[in-house]
Amino acid sequence: MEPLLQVKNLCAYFFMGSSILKAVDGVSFEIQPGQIVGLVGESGCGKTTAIQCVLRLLPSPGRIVEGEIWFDDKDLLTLSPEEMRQIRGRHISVVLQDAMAALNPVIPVGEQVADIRLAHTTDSNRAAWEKAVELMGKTGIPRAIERARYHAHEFSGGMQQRIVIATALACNPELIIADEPTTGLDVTIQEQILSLLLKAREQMGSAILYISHDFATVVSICDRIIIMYAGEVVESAPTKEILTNPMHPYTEGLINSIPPLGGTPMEFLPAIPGLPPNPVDLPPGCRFAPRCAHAKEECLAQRPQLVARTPGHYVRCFSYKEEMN
Amino acid sequence: MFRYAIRRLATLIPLVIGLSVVVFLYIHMMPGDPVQAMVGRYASPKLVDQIRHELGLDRPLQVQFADWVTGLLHGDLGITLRSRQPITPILIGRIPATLELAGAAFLISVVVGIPSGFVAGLMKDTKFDYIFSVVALAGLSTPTFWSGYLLVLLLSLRWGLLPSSGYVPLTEDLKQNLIYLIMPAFTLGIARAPYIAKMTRTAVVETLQEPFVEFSRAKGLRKQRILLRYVWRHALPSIAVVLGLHIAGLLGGSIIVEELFNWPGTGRLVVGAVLERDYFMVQATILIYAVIVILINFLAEIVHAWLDPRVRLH
Amino acid sequence: MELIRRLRTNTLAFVGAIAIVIILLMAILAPVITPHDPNEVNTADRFLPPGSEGYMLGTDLLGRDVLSRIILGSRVSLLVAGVGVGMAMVIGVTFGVIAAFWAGWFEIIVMQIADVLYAVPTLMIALGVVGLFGRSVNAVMFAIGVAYSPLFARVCHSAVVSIRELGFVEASRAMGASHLRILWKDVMPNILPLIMVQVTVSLSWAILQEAGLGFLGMSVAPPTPSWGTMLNEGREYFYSAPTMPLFTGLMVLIAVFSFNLLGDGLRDILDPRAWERLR
Repeated sequence: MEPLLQVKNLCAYFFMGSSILKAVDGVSFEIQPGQIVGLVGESGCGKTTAIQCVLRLLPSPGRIVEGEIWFDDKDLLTLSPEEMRQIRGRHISVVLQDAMAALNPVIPVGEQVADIRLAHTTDSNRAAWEKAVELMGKTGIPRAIERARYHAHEFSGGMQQRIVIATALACNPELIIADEPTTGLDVTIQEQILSLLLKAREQMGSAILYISHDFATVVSICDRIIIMYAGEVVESAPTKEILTNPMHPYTEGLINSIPPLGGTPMEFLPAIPGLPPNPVDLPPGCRFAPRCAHAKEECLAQRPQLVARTPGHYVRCFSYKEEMN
Repeated sequence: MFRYAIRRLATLIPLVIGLSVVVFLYIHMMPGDPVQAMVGRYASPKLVDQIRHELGLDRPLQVQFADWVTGLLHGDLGITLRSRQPITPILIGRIPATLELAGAAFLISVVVGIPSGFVAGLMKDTKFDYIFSVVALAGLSTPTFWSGYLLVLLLSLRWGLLPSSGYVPLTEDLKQNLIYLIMPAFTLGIARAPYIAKMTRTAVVETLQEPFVEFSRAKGLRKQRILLRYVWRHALPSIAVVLGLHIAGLLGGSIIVEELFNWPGTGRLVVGAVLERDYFMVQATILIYAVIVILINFLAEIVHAWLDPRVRLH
Repeated sequence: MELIRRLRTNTLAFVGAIAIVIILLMAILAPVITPHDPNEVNTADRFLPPGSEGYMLGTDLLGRDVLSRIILGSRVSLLVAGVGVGMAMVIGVTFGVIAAFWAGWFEIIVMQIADVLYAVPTLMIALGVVGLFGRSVNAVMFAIGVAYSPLFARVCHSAVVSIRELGFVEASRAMGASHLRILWKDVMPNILPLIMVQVTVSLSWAILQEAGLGFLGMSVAPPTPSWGTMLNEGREYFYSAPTMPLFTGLMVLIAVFSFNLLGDGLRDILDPRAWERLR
């Protein structure tokens, strides 16, 4: 099957005076239609920058220096601003981390769900409003007809996020990018938000790119997981494979850091020692090598490529697992 | 919304009370004897005492205050010093001219200021913005008596396009009224426009930094819609608040412009009163100006709350 | 100082600062640098146009050299503005900070008075004060002081209130610091930049105010030259001899513009966001 989204060797740098911040440096991945793909990595690894590139909303002084982003057999990086505008919201939509910040405080929320339809469909004002109310109801906002006229601050955090999701679902997009949508919300609300996203895939067939630093959540809903570190993809495989056969030391570290539910309580939660490299001053070899327990000379000198070790399972590492075999 | 208005009104009351106390005490804050100052150095003590009694200034302060406030509530602002004429009708007679001047200047300043400030905010840190900042600052630094003089020199004396002073009431002859109005309104309007322009720019710049603007782009909305409903609509409440202060500044600035162009408004009344040491008149005009400013700021706050629902929570 | 280095990078503010230094020098050295005696009446040479022999900007109604009078006038105008704003700063900051610090009744009353004064247009306050106290240098200084103290009080008050709510004042108190110490270590460093900006901007307004008062005939009485008084003198003869008030007005513009440039630059350098919010 043709992939829905294909990112090939994406490089985006921030040019700040004399220094260059390599936020995204060689990111490649694929999303199939209707697939839920998780993008995991710690703060600063470049995941948010990567999706800004996909949407082509990279703030200056950032620039995409290399790569291709294929969506629906068009390279997004070659589109005109107007063509790109038509893709945003209609074919690729976003759910952001801070829902309150995503909503305009001075206009009614209903209008904010309606206007995405007005921008991309031939709906009349009336039709767009009615659809907005319907969507708000579907995402679980009680008394939607009334409350569509309310303003953002009159809703709780969880409700606000539902409104943002309603916006994201409004035009039946093929791809929904969810950037840490549950951070800062209660655990119970988190569950509800996640189930909303799953329903979207079920009912509309949308693919979801789920970005998080919370490995546990990603594992629970994603079909496939992409692990990013210091601007690169270091491992990418179906969820089951990642859990049973992680090939990159960083991935292993992430898995070990999830506190186990049940069994004997551990004394210490294993953490990965050290800090990620400075994106302005990157090491010449493997970027994880300084923190890696299995680093060899080769790792420090040369930068490993992203290679498929088994079909569908990509790793950027110099045969770590192979050694164990 | 209504409840918010009532709450704000409640905070006005102590303000107005405080204002009336301060204005009332104005005459008595003078070093030396106010009556002596009003009557003149050469008046005999007997005459001074007589006048003091006539004006009711020999009674205890509380009585004077109570009397004064009662008079105010009936619309009586006191009497002028020289001719003992009631002040209220004089003021009422002069107010239309000042309101017309301030109103016209307001329109000019808003028409010039808001659009330029809006564009400058959108084009922050570009050449346009830079030039805008310098021009606005220069405009703010230009005294009205200077720019007014310059206009008169060019448009009246040099080129004879417009009369340098004079006034015809609106109701009498619209065309003539406007001809006399142009220069003073323009002088005042242009002088105050930079203020509103800068404030608009600030509001726009702050709005553009908000995440929801970026989110509106992520939704793929058209540029017009983003500018109108997301940027402008969000900047508007801040601009509304500033407009209140802006009008207050216009009223203050109108005094000089009225003097320059011989415009028969209340501003000239104040100046004349101070020169003549007619403290009652000064008192009355300060009170009226301050009350107008307070009312306008109150209205601005109400409009602000109407435009930005978050404010109503306070 | 770090400030001066940052000032260099902001060209406009730097220009403003240089201009202010030049103007100040002009005022200080006035008696030495005036080409003629500013008060020397010379009825034979009345109303000479600019560019006349020895009189670069011409002469006024009494034959006095306009350039010399403008230079000397800067002394009074700057002095009045400076002392007036100084007064406003001392009164306003003191009351504003203490009101925010002590809170309660004192705060309410002080801020009410400040609000009342703030509601009256500053020109009117100044007119009122001069009306009471007469046309002396002290009166005009006092007028400016009274007119601008509410602004300082309000700015400091809201600054201290927001600091108060940040909690580190309480933290200091919990550690046993005395009131004075808290004031010095926690409060002052935070409001100092605000005060600096406010002083610079107020100075520009004060110069404008003195000129305006003078134009209306309410500033220092002649023959003492101040820019405001000169403007008033020029009013009567404006239509026949406009150059004197025009040049004086131009000087006022330059001075006010310089202070505004510096003030704006300071605002950008010190803390743009905090300042805007406190408006």
